[in-house]
Amino acid sequence: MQPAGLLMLIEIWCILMNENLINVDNLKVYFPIRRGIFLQTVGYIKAVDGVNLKIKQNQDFAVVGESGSGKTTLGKSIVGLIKPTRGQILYSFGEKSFDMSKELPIDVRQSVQMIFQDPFSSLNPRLKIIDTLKEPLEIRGFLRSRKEIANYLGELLEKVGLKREYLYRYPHEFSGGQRQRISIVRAISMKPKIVVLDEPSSSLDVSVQSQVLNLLQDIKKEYNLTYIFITHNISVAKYMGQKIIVMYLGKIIEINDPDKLIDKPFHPYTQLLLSTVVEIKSEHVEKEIKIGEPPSPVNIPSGCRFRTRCPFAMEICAKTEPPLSDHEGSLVACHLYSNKKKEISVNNS
Amino acid sequence: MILLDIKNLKITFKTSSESLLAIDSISFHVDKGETVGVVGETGSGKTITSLSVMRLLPSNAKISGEIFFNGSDLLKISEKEMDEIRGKKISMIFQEPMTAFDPLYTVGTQFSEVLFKHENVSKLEAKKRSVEMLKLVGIPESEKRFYQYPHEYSGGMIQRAMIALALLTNPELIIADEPTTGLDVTIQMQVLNLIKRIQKTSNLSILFITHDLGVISKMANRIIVLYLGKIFEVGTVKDVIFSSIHPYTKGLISSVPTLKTVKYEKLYSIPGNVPSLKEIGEGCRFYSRCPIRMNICKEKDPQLLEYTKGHFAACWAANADRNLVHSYE
Repeated sequence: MQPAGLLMLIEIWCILMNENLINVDNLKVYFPIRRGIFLQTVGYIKAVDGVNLKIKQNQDFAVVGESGSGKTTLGKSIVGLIKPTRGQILYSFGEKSFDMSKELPIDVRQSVQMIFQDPFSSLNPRLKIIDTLKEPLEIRGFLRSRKEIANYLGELLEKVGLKREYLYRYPHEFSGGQRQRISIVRAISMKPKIVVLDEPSSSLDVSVQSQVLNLLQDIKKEYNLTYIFITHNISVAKYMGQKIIVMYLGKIIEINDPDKLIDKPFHPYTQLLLSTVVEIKSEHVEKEIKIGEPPSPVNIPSGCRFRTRCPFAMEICAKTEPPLSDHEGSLVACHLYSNKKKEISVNNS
Repeated sequence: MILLDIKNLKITFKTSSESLLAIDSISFHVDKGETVGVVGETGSGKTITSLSVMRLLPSNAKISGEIFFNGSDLLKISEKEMDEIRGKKISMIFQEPMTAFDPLYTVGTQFSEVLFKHENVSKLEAKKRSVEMLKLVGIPESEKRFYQYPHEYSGGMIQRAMIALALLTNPELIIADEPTTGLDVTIQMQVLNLIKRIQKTSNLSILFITHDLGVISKMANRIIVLYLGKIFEVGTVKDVIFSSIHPYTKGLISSVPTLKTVKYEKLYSIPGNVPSLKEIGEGCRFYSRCPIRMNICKEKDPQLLEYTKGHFAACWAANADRNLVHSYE
């Protein structure tokens, strides 16, 4: 047997052993900036800059971060909507493992679905709901007659709390919450294993948001889905994820269980994010914290990318980039917690 | 001292086929130096109310009632007099600063324009005051920023510039219409702190419109809860958030997931959707979604009644409850 084939076999075996669904391996997504008449590339926007992630069956991740942190780009790459510049995303389906950036068999492709943020622009205004929803079913080809399709979709609509006859209406006849329910039907009609949700509730009214979040939890249990939930709201992330991933300028800087992350955030950026959460019924402590703004993803600072805003920045932070390493059960990328520096920093603070 | 006093405001929108009552006789006031928060979901009429104070409603809107500002009724004065007030004494912070600024002019030009219109100032002085104001809201290199176009600002910076623009003429009242919606939490915090800091130093009144209960409880002295053009509850932050009376307010508060929300426990949610204005019947407009509705709710619209000092609510069930308590006493 050729070595390459052998390696692949070992790789597949490893993936099966860990029950990993998706393996994001050193993912980098750079968007070129082109200028001038010849459209020369003058630089890159480093949207995702080296992300490693193992997504297991039934382990929901919630991804939080400011705008520009690369959370949406990560989500789109996982679905295969964006090709990685470097690195790869391996998806194990059945006994095989597939590269998400390559052409995939249709049943593999359709088992990873996405729900978008804006329910107003994600449904075609010129198509009736049934015409939007039936398209993937026809491509997949497992339901043939129009009646069968209408029946199947009607059932799903009822499941998300809408009426069967809504199939024959146009998107403009629905409110934001109803449209988001239709988007949910579109995603689950393919019986996916993984659903990437990009801020599905952030454009909705407060009272509707909680309905949609509850619905998503119910659907998850019923269809045995694995969610990758992208949001900027940490409270929502806590409710939806089994692990919270905090991203900053294209990199993961902390991963932990929601309760632990909120109780005891380790990375200074996570601490900053949590301190800016404005909540009802919480004690408002008036304190002037230096918040600052993230630097542009074109010129990422050397070493640790958070050091320009970090209150604890040390000499080493400008030199080397801290790796994501284990600290009291949490994965943190910060020099404060790398073994030697730990004691010094405690003394200083 | 009362600065803005709205009395029995009614706004009807006329279309070719029907007329819709968007605001149904609401009354409230804003004191000098006070922040009043208006909370409501889509369609509650919060933006319409603020636009009516600025007299910026489209021509198919019919307004009745009174809007007193410093004692004079804004609905009765001439367009010329209104021009003197709009942008000078009352200014506005809009939700989307990127679209509120004109992309074809520099930020400096748009700042100076306001000063040229309302105050007799030289070009040099206009620049000096604009740069000072930009500095006050924490924009670095404000001298350079004065000559830049809106697209050269970042999202948080342009929102701060918007606040600077609103403050430029030393207004007495600022209407902030969802000033932090769409901003990152970190930038939201900066903007909120900035508004608070400025208010402390200048005795400014703010009408703060938002759908975010967290933001409002941080910013406001008093809260008005609006639902489909009607006030459901009014009171101090403590009253409305911590001892709310109306089932809608209670529902709103408990449906927001917080950091303390226990996972796998269902979030509370108000059943149904906000009905359209056409679907409102004779009774309470919350009837179809209310968990504690009674027979009377379907027939008669409840009035706003005072429960404790300054804490009003419009709910039959709460009222019945109170009568019950009173009769036992």
